[in-house]
Amino acid sequence: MAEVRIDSVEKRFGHLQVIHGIDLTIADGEFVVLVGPSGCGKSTLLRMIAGLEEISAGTISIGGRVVNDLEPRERDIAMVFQSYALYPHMNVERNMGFSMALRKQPKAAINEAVGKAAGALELEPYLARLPRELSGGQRQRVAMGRAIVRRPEVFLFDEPLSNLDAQLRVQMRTEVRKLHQRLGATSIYVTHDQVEAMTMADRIVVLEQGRIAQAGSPLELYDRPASRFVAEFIGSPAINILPGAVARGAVSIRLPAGAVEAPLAADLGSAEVDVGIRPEHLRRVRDGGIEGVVQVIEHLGAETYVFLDVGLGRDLCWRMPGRPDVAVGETVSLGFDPGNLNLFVSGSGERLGSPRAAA
Amino acid sequence: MRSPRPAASLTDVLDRHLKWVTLGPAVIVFVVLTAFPLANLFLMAASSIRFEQAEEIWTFALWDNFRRLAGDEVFHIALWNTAYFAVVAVAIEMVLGLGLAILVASLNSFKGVTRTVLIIPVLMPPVAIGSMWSLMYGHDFGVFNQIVTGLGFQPINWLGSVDLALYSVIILDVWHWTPFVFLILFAGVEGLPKEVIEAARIDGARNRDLVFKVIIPLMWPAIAVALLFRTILAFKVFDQVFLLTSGGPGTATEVVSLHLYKVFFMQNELGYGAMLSLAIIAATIAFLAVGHRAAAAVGRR
Amino acid sequence: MLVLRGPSRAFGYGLLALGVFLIIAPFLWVGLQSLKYEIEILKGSWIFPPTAFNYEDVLWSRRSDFPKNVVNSIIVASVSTAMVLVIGTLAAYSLSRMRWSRWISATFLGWTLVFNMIPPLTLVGPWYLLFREVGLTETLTALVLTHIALHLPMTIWMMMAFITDVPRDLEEAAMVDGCRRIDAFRRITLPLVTPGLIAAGVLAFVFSWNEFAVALSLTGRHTATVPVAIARFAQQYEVQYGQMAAASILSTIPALVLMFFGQRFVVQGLTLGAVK
Repeated sequence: MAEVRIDSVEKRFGHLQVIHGIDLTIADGEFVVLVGPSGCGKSTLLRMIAGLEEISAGTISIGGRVVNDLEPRERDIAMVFQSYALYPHMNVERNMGFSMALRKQPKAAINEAVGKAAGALELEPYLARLPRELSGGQRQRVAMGRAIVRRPEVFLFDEPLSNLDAQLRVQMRTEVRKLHQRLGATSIYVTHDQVEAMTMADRIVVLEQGRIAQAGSPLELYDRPASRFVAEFIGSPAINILPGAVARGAVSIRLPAGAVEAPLAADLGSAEVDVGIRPEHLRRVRDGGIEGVVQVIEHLGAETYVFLDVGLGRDLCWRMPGRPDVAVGETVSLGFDPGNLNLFVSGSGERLGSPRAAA
Repeated sequence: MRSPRPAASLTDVLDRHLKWVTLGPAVIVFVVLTAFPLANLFLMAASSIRFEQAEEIWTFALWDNFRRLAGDEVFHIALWNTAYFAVVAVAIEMVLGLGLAILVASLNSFKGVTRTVLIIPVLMPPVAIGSMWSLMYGHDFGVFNQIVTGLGFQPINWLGSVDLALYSVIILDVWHWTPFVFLILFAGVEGLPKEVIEAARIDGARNRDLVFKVIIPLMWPAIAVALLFRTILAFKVFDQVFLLTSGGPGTATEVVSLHLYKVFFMQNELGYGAMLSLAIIAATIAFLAVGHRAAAAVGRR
Repeated sequence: MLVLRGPSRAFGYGLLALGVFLIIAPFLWVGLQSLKYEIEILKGSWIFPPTAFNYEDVLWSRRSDFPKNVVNSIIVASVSTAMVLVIGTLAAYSLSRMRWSRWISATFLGWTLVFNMIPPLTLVGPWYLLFREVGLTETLTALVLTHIALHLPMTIWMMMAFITDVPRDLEEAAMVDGCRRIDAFRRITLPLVTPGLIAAGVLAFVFSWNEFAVALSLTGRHTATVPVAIARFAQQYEVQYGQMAAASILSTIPALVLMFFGQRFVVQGLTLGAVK
């Protein structure tokens, strides 16, 4: 098992720079998820760790060994591809045992390793089948099995679940996580799905246009996003962003119907800000809150999403537990705890500081 | 799990230089067998080459060769014959091939059988085809004249008549290559999106509309490919003409390749032959450029 | 495609049957002639006592060179096919998977395209001088070399289409699993393009077997291939029609045999450009 260190790594394709100096250390046994919108460079970074893309500048080391000039096969890694990349002309058993066969391991050892992995993944009945004779979920498990048999220092996952249907995806999320807990291997997992990132990661690294926007535990990112970009990327339904200003220890949210003011715990100077409020942090008040007209109500059973028109062009989302006590067309006033606000400087999107509400 | 690096083997060396190892042999073939001979064509075209015993004697004859090219009436006739042959033969083949492709796709049966039978002419030696057809065109006992006389007409001089010989060659070519056009266009028809045609039918299109307003426009890429392949091959025509008529009677079926062969190997004029070759290559490239433009223009429409 | 019902459907079947008949008829007629004695051919008779004389004469008679021609053709076609497959597949792999700068691959591919278009006879003059220079005049080696040059472009284009169809992920997965590039090519890509190899191989073999113009120009009496021999039959002062028919029928056999084994792949190969 090994630590992965990424030092000032850059990647250019011709004149196009896609990775701008990334520094990241992934601890031995840690499960790190790289997440971001498409084109943010997450897959490129993973492929550089794997050795499938050249590193334009900086160094990557695995287990203390600089791997910049090593071939993928010399890096002691295993990778699960989005397409699974199962060898179509080999059956499941040979697919899983291929890496050991390449190392000229004895047949018995290969059989044992493949058998063990197949057992853990419930693939035993399919060992003799070709990939095209398997369902999507089974193929995905074979791809995982192949990685397990490799017994690498680092597992790399490149959006491995995105070709599965929703139900299977949820199930496999747990499987991958269990697998990590059993093997304890350093894992780097790329996805564009923030739910996957939140549910699976020890630590999430959010990438934005080739730079790290924020790295931290899932809850850190959720509770204290470092920028408006991270705040909007993490969380579903997405955080509400409202225009406002900070001055003299208070925040004022500017709405067409009038400003809503709230005190802050600390004096943060004065600035134009974007105010972020998570949908679950809103609650109904008699008056004095954010006023809006109910447009749409989405029932999820255990909870309800209510979308309100507050005159901003985009609806405000209010997430309430249980069943709604409002109706479409009704005007509702919503209050919030100022301690739950996330404030971002307008324009740059940087976090303004942590607002602590005055009791 | 790390294993010590084994000593570099031959495979390791090959692997390290794989980029060149893989392309290298092809580059060698192209340089030695095409680029070098092509460059040599220029030298040869400027020379007159004679053989005396084992000696090659090269003398400068660029202007002579030029003058000869300009005044080579047989070459001009051959160019015209080749172009005429190519246009007429390819046009007929395209129409028949397209019709057959749409027909087989519409009948939706005997696809496999039709394909198996029709691929035979494509893969046969053209010389064997020429030989077979020269038997069939035979004046006294060929099957065509058996039919013609059986119907009560005079036998026709298929290959010996100045007016008819080129058309006899064209008929053979249509037999030979319509199946090839069919194969390409049939793959094109089969690849058409069924929903579009069904939608057109629901919109009220009759068969004729479907063919001209939906199927043919959608198949344009396949049609362009078939047209291109066939035209290229038609310009190279040699084997069947050599067998059927050897260019005769007179120059009625003289084609470019045949003329070139005669200059090279019957008149032993390597220098002038090279000049002719260059002229043919230039004409081919010019044709390719024009055809490419035209296809692109039609494709945009 | 079109909806054909009732009479128009029957008419369609009629047309199709006519088309198929017109393609087959020449074979039947020539096949018939090949089973006749010369005298029956000249009489143009339809009912006659069949004889294998023409075939025996072409294949076994002492004055016939045909068996020698067949051997020559087999040697030239198989050697040039093997070489063209190896060289062409490697080049196709290189051009579709290795990072060649744009102008190198464009030049190379453009050149193969143009070369495919010009009549092969244009290069026969310089080839003749080249082989004379190195002492290969009228040898099978010379003919093999020209056939490699002639059929390499087609093979490269076809194999590139097949190799591009193999997802890059597979090679990358193999490299992560422990393959060198060359192993990934050999153990993953190559087995997956077997249909392409069959198609390209059958076509290269058939085209080489059929090739006439260059063989006519560069071979001598002892190295003549089957097409050259057939042309000689037709050009003899006293044309032997029966033998000519028999030789034509015989020369078609390899193409037919290969067709039965690889038809699916060959049709795919021939029509590859059209459906892409």
